Amino acid sequence: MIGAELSLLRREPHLKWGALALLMLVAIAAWNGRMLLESRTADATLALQESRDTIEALAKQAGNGNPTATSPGAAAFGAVSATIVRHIATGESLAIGQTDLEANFQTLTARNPYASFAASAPDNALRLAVGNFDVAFVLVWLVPLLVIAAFFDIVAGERERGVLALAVVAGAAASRYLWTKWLTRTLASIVVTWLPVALAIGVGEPTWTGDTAIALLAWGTVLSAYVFFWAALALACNVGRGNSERHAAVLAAAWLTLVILLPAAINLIVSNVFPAPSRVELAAQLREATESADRAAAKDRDRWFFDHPDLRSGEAERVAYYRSVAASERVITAAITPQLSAFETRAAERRELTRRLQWLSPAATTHDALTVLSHTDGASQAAFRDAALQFHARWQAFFFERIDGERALTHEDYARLPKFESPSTSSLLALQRAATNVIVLFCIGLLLCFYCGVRLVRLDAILPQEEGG
Amino acid sequence: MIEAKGLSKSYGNVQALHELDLEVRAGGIYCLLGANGAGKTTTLNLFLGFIQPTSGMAAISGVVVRDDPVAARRQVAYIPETVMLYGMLSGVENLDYFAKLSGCRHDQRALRGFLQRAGLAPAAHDRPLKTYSKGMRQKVGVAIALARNARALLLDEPTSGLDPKASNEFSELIAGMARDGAAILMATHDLFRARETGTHIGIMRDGVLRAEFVASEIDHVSLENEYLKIMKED
Repeated sequence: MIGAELSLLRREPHLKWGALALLMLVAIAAWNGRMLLESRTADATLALQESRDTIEALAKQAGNGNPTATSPGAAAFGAVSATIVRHIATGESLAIGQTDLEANFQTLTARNPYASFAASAPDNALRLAVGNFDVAFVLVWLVPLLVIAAFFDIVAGERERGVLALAVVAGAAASRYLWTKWLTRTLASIVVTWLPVALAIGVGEPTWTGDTAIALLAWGTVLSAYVFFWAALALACNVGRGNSERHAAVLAAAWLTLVILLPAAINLIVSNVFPAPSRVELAAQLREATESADRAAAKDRDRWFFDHPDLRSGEAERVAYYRSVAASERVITAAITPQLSAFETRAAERRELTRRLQWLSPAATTHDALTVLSHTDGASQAAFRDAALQFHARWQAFFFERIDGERALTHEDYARLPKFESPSTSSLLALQRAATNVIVLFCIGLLLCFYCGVRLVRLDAILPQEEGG
Repeated sequence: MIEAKGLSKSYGNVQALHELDLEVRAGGIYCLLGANGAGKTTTLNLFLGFIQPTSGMAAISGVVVRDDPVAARRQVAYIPETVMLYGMLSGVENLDYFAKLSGCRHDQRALRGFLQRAGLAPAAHDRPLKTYSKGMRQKVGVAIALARNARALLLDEPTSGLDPKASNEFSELIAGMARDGAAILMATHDLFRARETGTHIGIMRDGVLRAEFVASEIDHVSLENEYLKIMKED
């Protein structure tokens, strides 16, 4: 029976064409993700190289006593910048997640770093609702449609074709016959689902490593759980009353609800409960703090020169100017830190609520697992922002110590510049979190199977065909 | 042997079948005639164990269906009014599928032999079933019965919608199976075919078997007259 069932599946033209369309879309999405990532990586590499070249050149000039290179103020507030680059995790090209909300690199100076963060508002709590055209989106949206196409008439169709009656007369218990059929189709669908995953990783990831194999396994497992859920839902729908057309309509409505409407509703709820912090407001606060700090610094500077008119020109004025700039930056940092902190708190609240609400939609649960596995979820982005802030504090401290102490930069100082390390992407943590989602999907699927089991046992005792005259 | 004793089935207040006594011996073809709703299909469903009788007993080759439906079904083959099967599979694949479901394993040669015995031309064996006419599908149904070596055959209006030639071919097939020792119970609207093919004929109305005839002892005209008389009774 299993062989015949597989043969049937192989010959259903709508499944063949559907699978082909899915593979094509997955390949395009994976290529799209890879191009996007390569372009971002190229930009980051260029910026990183530029920073390194500048630092190298200034280091040389500092050795020669060039005043621009030896002045900590000139270096801190203009000449020297640090480019920090986020680590690209395996599988990132497959799930864009939250990564398109902000650049994967930043070029920082000792000035406040917040201007670049102002553009990183968590606009969309759950990216699934509007969807990036990435592999995760394509799979989460389209795999259920293929499963529905393969399962919508698994019981009703057998009845309508008169096959169930013949199978029962042939000696098979209706429930056992249908379970075998369902299990065969489910296992075949799960096996087939690994194809687009392998294709996506093959196209999207330029090199194969151990991590790539783990990503393939993890993605395959998540999607297997997703397929299992939809197959169980299709069976649960089929064991109820009605013909195959009705079941197809019910399953299509379930797809619309679980894949489109509920994720959109989750976005709406999260956005209303925890509105995204306004970027305009953040930029205005930053500007206001900067202007106020600059005014205060200028006032201090004027007072200092009023007291020391003999130092109004030359090196002393330059040193005083940079000290006042450093003072301004400290004031700006102090003024803007609560806003930034509120921004991160709000983002974390949004993530937490999204995480809780995602259980309402298996599509959202699956999408979350895929973005977590690709380290493109909101938490990974926040970790990068946090690491960037910590690095900036060290960078600022390095220069401010020398500005305040009126210590000239030396060739060796350039070698001692703080180095940025992107937060490590722990595959184990990601796997643990994704495993929770997989377990939830399997459990819902098992509950549906239990319900189907009860209904199918009853089917053994009832007429497996419509009664005639 | 197919046997019913006092077999009754009610749905609430509706009596679908009332006290049916019937016996079809090996080699016999019993044709059940009657209008829609007369209780023909209910009778077949009771023999198949798809529904439980309200009272009485249905048995196939001595096995009471209610007591052991699986064992009873093992003795029987069933051909519904429309044999749909799997349109994407060929005739031989469908036959293989249902034979295996019954626990019978036959090689390709044997399967093709059954199809040929059922009157299906070899050129059609490997074509998808969706390209078959209704008559050809019925022949696949007969081939399934042959492959299972069923000792009892239940047919639900198998010639309905067939052209006269296909209907005649089908009747000859059935007659051949009866000659080989099968007991056949066939529900039909076709008086002519019942008289030509059957060994015994029963006329049902409102769930009651109103009359029984030995086919060889009644001619076509008398059978039609008896049938119309029963249908017109108040």
